[in-house]
Amino acid sequence: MKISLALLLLLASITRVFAADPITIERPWARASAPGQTVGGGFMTIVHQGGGEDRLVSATTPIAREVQIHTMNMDGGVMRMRPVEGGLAIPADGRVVLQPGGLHLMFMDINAPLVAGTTFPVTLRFAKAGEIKVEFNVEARTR
Amino acid sequence: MRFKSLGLVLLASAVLIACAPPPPPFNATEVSNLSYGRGLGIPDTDGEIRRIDDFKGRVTLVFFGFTRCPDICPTTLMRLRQVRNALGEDAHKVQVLLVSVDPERDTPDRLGAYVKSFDDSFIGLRPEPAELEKVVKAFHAIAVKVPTVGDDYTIDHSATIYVYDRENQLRLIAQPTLEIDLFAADLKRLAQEG
Repeated sequence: MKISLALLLLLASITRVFAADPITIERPWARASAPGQTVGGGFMTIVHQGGGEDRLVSATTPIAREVQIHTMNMDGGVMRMRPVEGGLAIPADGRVVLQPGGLHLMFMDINAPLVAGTTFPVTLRFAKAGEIKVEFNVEARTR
Repeated sequence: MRFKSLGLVLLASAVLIACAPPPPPFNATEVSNLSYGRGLGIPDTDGEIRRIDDFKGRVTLVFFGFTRCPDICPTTLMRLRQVRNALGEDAHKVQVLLVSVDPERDTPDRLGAYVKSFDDSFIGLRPEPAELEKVVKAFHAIAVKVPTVGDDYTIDHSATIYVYDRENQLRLIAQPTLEIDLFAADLKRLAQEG
């Protein structure tokens, strides 16, 4: 009896380890769009607690025609933005931060304005972790 | 004796004058004798031709951007609104001009609505597509179309902000990352000149 309980507990803990998502998304948010703006920027922190590199390969959302993963950098006063080729690498036990002034998701041709206080779903596709669905919060344009 | 002390006083005053501290440097990069963009006429979103010299008496900020720019352009517009507001009663002496590097997609209506949504005082300028290269060159700036996916493209462009004083002289070139209070301090000084 005692043994089987211990076994059960052990099994439960193993299941928990395997069930824990290797990738979690912290604070997904997008900026409220400005009138006239047909694109939006999305930001989040991707936390990887699994071994081996994973990649954010693509993303989709019902609110835009297409989602692109972009890098942005300033080079001698010039802003350069590029789609990330081959997906965004997520290192083992690492964090990748998408934030204003750097990496971001770009929502191309949004169907409707992004209004502060609302949310919208985005499906992220990782090479190993598979699909992860997240709700992006639309925040007022203050930063 | 009396002459001697007078001499000392004069010497002391001369030393004091010589030691008067020079004005502190600006936080943005100071420039002089550059006539970037001066005399150039660019239509605003109502079709009216605007020149930097039209804004005599105001500190005028010019920078390049476009509405399909998800990050740096809205960030700069938001920051410039904060910088302008930080000037308090001198805020009305600051004029922000956004020059579109994407006139093909930035229709006057779209550009106008976009710019005004950040601050009603901001003005969007939209060069005719054929004039864009000339306009960009006049500011010694860069705007290069880069294909992305399918027919889509983005535009690498200068993100620096050109600051003209109340006499329409180019005085400062600021990076978009310049801290708001430092930027505001620079503009306050320029707004209170003359």
